Amino acid sequence: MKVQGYFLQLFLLQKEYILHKLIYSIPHIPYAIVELNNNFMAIADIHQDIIQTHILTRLDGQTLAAASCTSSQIQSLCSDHKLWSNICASYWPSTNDPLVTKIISSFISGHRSFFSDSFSCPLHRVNTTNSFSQTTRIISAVDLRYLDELVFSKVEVTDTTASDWFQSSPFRIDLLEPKEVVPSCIEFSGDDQEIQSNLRKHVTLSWILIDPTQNRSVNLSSIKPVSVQRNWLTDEIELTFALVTSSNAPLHDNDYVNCNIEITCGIKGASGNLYVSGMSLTVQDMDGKCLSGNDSLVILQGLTMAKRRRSDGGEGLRMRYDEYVERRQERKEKNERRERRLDMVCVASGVVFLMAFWSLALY
Amino acid sequence: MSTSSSSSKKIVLKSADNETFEIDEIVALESQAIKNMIEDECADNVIPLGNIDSKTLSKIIEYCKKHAESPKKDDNADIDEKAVEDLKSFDAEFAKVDMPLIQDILMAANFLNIDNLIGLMCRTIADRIKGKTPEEIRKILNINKNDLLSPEQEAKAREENSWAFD
Repeated sequence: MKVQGYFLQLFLLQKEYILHKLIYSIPHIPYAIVELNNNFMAIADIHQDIIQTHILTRLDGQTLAAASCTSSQIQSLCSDHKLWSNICASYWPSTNDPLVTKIISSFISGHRSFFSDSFSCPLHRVNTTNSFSQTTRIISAVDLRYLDELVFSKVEVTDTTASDWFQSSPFRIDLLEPKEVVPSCIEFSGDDQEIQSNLRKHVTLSWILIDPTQNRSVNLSSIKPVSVQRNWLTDEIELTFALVTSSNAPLHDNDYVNCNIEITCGIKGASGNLYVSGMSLTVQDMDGKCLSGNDSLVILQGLTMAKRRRSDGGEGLRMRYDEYVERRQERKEKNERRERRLDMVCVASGVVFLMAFWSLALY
Repeated sequence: MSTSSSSSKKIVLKSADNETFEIDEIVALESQAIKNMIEDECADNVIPLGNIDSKTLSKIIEYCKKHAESPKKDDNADIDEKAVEDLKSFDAEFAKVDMPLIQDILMAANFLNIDNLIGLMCRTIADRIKGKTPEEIRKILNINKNDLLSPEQEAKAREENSWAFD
């Protein structure tokens, strides 16, 4: 009876402890059996269990990816689906949405592919010559944080069916309705400069764009804002996040294209709580003009398929955005100079013509 | 179930290299496995730990002693901050050992079922490999040559995961 009881427990309790119990419950056990017990305890077995439940769960996605290149044992442990879905959920709560989870499950390696697509940064140059099958919808999974506090999280489906309207009108995804305001419990005090510097330092945004046709995704946000400015007209603060890339499409002639995310926020009430009143994504060309739906989709799909590199937390993207703004400014000045010159020529030729006319008329 | 009345009772542990350690029962109770054995009254004499060497065992006893001495969190809601801080810095200091010993302690802690110690050792290993390249991780974990990926497998894995470390 007693032995039977032990075997029942074998399924409930840890095996080493059971072995101990079995051995010590029999009186005068020869020492050799204790030795046998030690050989019996497979080292790799126990390690595997500990590695999986105690070590791998403590790692971030990047380390997990690096670890999966080390040994076959660790590789198989690292490809555990649950591990990656937990990591995705902790980085991006919006990916818990049933629609997003469903789409992620059809990615090549599920959440693992989704994480590597969305955590890494696309190379600066995208190849848009490949004609992608046009998707009928794109999904945005967006998470906005202030320090560790989640301020806003949303999944937005955008219909991209090839219609005349979509193809020709400027592309824009808005996450909030015109009068919608998202409150938060984050309190601010201090002067305007201090508020802006805190926002610059502590706000992080992830805007993952998912293409359900290709089963690929890309993070369009620079993580940290590339610019923070007060709009003195509305008295709200505008945060810009940007992913600047260059495209080889004939339209852009190897020039920069900017995936521009604009967040409007403000401080309200006596306690000074942060609120968000606007969140939008546009794709802009070198002149800052918004691209049409069709042209934008080519860029966005190109970005999801682009080769990736290690993310540096947005520092490189901020520098690239500054470069883009500088180039845009130069271009603008050049155009203005050219226009001024053209004006001068027009004026001069007008004067010459007038003088010639009068001199002919007088004499 | 005689934990309160037997604070002076001694337990003798014997390591793989036949060294014996006499410790207070309260210290031994940190190990769930030994606790179970004591409760089942099958720990009357020496407990042989045939797979733990004396170096590892003495480290583990050092850990258990410290943790048995400090007040438990659930005993008293307002235990002073200092004790918590003290235990934290002890843990940090305790974990400053080389990797083979950490793995030995981890194996032994798992065998003896000391949850806190398993947690501490795993946290230490995780912290040491965080943000490292595959080569560095392989070196830190001292991965067995037989367990390496084949060149093709490795090339494929590196290609897939290069975004993480290149």
